[in-house]
Amino acid sequence: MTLLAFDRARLDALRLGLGAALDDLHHIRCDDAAAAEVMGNVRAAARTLGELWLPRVQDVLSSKAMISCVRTTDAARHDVSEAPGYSSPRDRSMETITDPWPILGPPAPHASRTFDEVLADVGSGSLRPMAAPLDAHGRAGARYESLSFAPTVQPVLVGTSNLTSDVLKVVDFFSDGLPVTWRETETLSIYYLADARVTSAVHVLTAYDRDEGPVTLLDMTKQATTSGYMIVRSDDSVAEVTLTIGDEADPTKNVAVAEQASAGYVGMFFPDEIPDLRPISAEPRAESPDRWTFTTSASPMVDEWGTWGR
Amino acid sequence: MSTPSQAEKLRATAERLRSLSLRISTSQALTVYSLAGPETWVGPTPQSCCEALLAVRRQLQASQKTLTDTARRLEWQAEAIERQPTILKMVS
Repeated sequence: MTLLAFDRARLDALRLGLGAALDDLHHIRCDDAAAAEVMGNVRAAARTLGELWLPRVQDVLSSKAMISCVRTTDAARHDVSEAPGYSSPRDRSMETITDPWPILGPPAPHASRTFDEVLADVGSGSLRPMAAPLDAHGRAGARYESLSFAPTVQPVLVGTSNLTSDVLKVVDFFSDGLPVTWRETETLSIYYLADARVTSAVHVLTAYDRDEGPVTLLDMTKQATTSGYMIVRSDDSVAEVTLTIGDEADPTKNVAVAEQASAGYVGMFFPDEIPDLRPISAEPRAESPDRWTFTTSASPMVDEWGTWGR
Repeated sequence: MSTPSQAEKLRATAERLRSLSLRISTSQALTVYSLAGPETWVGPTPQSCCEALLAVRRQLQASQKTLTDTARRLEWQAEAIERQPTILKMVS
């Protein structure tokens, strides 16, 4: 556990400052080829401010902090008063919270591939995916693997592409205002993960409650820190049954009486270097949550797990 | 209708780069680091924040220098072209 002390008024000023700086950066534009590299730097700066630090500052401001100046040393000897600058004189109290990002490191430099370049490098084979997790092939009692990825810093969104077919767009358009509507979107997203934690877990294929997920063989679980590109194709669909209310001449005045949403994703991770997976220790520790978990085994899929593949 | 000469194009590009440099120099992204010091927040994450904002500042200042250096080089090239005899301008 790591502690974080802050002055709420000053941190709010930082929040406003980051917002204003981000606004400035978003308004800087130049399509001259001679400025392409500089514009890349401007976009990288905007990502650092907008995707990494502004959300963190907002999270701290929305946290329930203690209204006092606290010097606390935890079992791991993390003492906020030992942090650089803490010894400088202060005439106001600071609030202290547990740092929401215990495994935080500075953002790694993002390999400057664009969305199209990543796809081209995947197609040409210069970007190679991690080895696919083992599949149980539907055999009861057989082992299979899952690969989970947990960002330790905010993933950099390299780009997205809407893959929704024209047919589905037409269905969405014409079902608007009808008693039964259907919306489905398919999106391809590429993220750059810097120093992410990858966990390779081994499970046994059995019947189980999907809410609880499969049993994990902890002694066979391995982890590594890795950086690279996460390519995810997500499929979101919503079906709605609606009733028209009020004036029947306006079909858009309606209320949803039933809704069924489903979401799934398919993806692969393309590391900068092959991660060195090592067994984990059994000791409890604070870790950032997994964001993506993939298997190739179709039958044991847990809610919120995705499929490894293209 | 006359087309812009090579020297005019170079000067126009230089002007755009100087304008971009000016935009960057007035951005609050260069000064926001000053709000993230230890009087605002303290701990490993705040320390990383301050370092990241200083890195952004350094990167943007380096970009500014790149832009002004490139603009100056383009202006020199434009001047060199204009000093050339007419026959050489036609082939440059």
